[in-house]
Amino acid sequence: MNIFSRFYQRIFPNKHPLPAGFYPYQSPPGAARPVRLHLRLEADGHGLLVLNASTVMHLNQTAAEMIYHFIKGTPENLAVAEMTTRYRVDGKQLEQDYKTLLEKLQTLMDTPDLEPVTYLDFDRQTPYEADISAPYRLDCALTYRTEDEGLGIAPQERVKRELTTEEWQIMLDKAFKAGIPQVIFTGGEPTLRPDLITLLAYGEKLGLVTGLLTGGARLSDPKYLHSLLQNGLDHILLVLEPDHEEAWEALKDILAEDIFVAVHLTVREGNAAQIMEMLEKLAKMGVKAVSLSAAAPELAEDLENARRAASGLEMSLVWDLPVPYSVHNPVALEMQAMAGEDERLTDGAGKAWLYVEPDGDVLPAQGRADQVMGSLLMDEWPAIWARRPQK
Amino acid sequence: MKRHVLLNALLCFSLILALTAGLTGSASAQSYYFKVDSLKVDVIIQQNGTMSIDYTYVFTNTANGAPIEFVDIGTPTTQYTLSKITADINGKAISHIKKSSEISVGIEVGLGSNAIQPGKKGIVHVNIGEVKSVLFKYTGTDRTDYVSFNFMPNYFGSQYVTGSTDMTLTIRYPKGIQESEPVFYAPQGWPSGDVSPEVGVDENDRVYYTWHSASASPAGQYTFGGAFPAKYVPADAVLEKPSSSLFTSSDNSSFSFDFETLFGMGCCALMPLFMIWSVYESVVGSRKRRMQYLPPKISVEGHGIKRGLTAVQAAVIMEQPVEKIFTMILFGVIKKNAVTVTNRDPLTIEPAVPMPAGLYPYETEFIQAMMTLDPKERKTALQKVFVGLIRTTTEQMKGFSLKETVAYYKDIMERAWAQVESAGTPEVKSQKFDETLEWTMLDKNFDDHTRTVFTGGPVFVPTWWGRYDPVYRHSHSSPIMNYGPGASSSSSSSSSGGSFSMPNLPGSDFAAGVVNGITGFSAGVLGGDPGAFTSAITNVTNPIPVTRSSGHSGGGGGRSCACACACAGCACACAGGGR
Repeated sequence: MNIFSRFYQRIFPNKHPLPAGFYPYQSPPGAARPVRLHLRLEADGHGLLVLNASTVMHLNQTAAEMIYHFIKGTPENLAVAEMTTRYRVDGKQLEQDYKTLLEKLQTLMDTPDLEPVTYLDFDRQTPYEADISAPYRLDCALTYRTEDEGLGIAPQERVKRELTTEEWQIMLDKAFKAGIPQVIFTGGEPTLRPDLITLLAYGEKLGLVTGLLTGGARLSDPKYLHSLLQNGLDHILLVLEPDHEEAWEALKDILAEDIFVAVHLTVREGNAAQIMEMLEKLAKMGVKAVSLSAAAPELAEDLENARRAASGLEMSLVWDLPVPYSVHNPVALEMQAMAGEDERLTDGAGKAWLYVEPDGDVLPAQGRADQVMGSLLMDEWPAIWARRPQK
Repeated sequence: MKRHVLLNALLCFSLILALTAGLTGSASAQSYYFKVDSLKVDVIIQQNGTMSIDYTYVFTNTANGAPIEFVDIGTPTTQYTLSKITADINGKAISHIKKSSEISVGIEVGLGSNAIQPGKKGIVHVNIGEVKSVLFKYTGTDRTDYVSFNFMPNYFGSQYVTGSTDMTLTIRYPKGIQESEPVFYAPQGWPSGDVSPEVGVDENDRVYYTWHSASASPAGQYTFGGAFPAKYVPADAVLEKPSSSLFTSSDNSSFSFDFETLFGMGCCALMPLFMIWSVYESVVGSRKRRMQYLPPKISVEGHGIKRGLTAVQAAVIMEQPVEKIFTMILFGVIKKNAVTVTNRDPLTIEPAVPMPAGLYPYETEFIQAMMTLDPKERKTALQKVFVGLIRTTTEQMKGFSLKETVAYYKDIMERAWAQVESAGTPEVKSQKFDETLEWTMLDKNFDDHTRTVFTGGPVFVPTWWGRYDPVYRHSHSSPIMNYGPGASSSSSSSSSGGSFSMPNLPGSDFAAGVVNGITGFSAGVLGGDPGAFTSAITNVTNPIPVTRSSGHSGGGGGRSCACACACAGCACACAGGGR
């Protein structure tokens, strides 16, 4: 019987989930609304789908497999036929489910700001609670150096060494292999690294979404700005220092280009009125997205007022970005107030994103120097991920 | 001739069996459910042509899994020697090492009192010192005098395991082989995109190849293999083709099975049965081997309820009729003493000078729009106000659940009505109605509900009613207490127990006054066609998404934003979600 059983298994093997993997997708050139998708198939067959590096969706095994076929460009009839051989299901039902799922995905990709829970019957997953194998974003501090010490965007200088271009490329490879869809280059001032353009190009080649967090001074050089754009930069977060005329000039230049830009403002003690003025100025310039944070949680009311003003000016709010005082963003403070300081609801550091120091050390977030998770250059990814903060 | 064909077929099959060394390691109980956090496999081809295999498993039993009492390990052939197998759990030696009772070719190790309990971790180490008959003459045309082998590491039934495995597999060649001599086969089924191994020479001067994946499956069937010059192993350790001896254990206690004998005895008799069975398995059995199908499901990450919306914004996300939302704004600015209605039909207002503080942007814009004299321009201005209101609300809703937020504000509305309805006296009822008016107006049946609550008794009008109703204002001039001028007075007990006179209206008149305000706005300001007014708004806020085939139903299908509004006057905010 044992021989028979072995014989049986060899000839008629059971079906298994698709192997783990990471699959980027970019809509074809000329698409009415360009989109980026990243599908991460986990070892247990479930999937993670990230739309435009911002909308995070968790897929059951069937949905993951269907979207895998979509990304691979498998013709519908072949995808359905293939899946029918792998699942105990009637072919017509599978075909119908497949069409419905892809229609929903297409609608989501085509319609800005569509709320998928209400309009597409998706379920809702509380942020940062799912069991995942890698974060959604890696914040890479290329250098501690800044254009101006007074800018206030430099992190605490914890290490001395800066990695070489090749070393950063190795780390980008590791990030991609781990299934991390987005990398934000930050600092210090990342534009001070002469190899920034090389690294952007490398990330683009891999299929990563790349962002840049900058004070903006170097972006007032049109030639440099164009090089960034031509080498695959996907979005810019400008940490605006209102007194720096160069930053305003740079912003004007960036807005003239076809790239998503968000401007960050920090609400501090006594600058509430100035923030309102700046928001109006930014709206007039054509800024469509802002990031807001407060230097202290006590400024929550001023922050909320700024948020309301921004929405009144039809500017979108972005949050959870590696900006100064990022933990005190409007959504986090609102959720904290609601959840009674339950940080699980508001803090994705170490889970949804990780921070990499200029020497390759991995922290849950900027400033958490006491929680080094390992070296992205030296350590294997699973070892690093295993040391993430447990909440 | 038939026997020959069958024999060949079986030989081919047995060749596969021999070349793929691993087997299905099974868990011996249905309720096993565990994780294999990591697996390290060391495969050594010895100078005598045998294979040594070393497994190190890190198991985590799930909270719901049965205790892991036995671990079955498949072996490449039955030609292993039990006395040369050692095992331990968490460093403690295991004495129960036997031929597996669960799998056909392999061993079992019994963990005994060290069984891994639910929710606990355990490190199981098994060293299989010697497995014979694993090398075959290389048959490729690109090399001569080479031997080859394949190896499939132990795996578990997918029903027993969850999660991924950090897996490392190393194949070590016999001593003396130079780095340039061995070759490896690209692993089959290996989850890592890069199938190239790490190559090196270990401390025992053995060339080795190492593959690593952080996301291997504990149920994965991965096949590794390689080849190397035959001169490094004895010629008698190399098989020309699989023979019946492959299935004969060198351990005397295990079974002995001889294919030649089997075929000689009963092959012809079994042939028809085998054919029928093959057809059955190909057609019917294949369905059983498929995975269970669950309809596709997507969960999007987002926060739940968005609190802090104004009643007007709540009305927007609840897709209330546009004329009702404007009436809510109107009541809001009247209550804040920012305007006085100078005429109800057509509606005209007079702003207060100076304007009170604390107006929302949409309230200020509404007052400015209403001051526009030309009806057409006023309509356009109001459309702009509404577009801005929708967009602002949409921005504030981003990242939060529309569905849960709507349910939350519906609950607030119901509790507001409950407060009004549970009031013990007409005065308190009127006071509660005044306090909660903007929330009760979220009720889709606000008109009927208001009439039901107030018909049959007096209503004590709020202070601002005179600023809303010019007729009432002109006929009643002296305010009493904190309520407006009264058409008549009644002696009542206040909630604080004092006695005072309050102005009141028949309940039906008051209800009609509120409800007519809504219809009056529609007729007088929106030109009696709120649908057309709304269309101009939704064309801006909700451009109709591209629709695709919809020739099927089911699956709970989504609805597009554009078709979300059934009522003609619906605002269809389509707010919230996603970033």
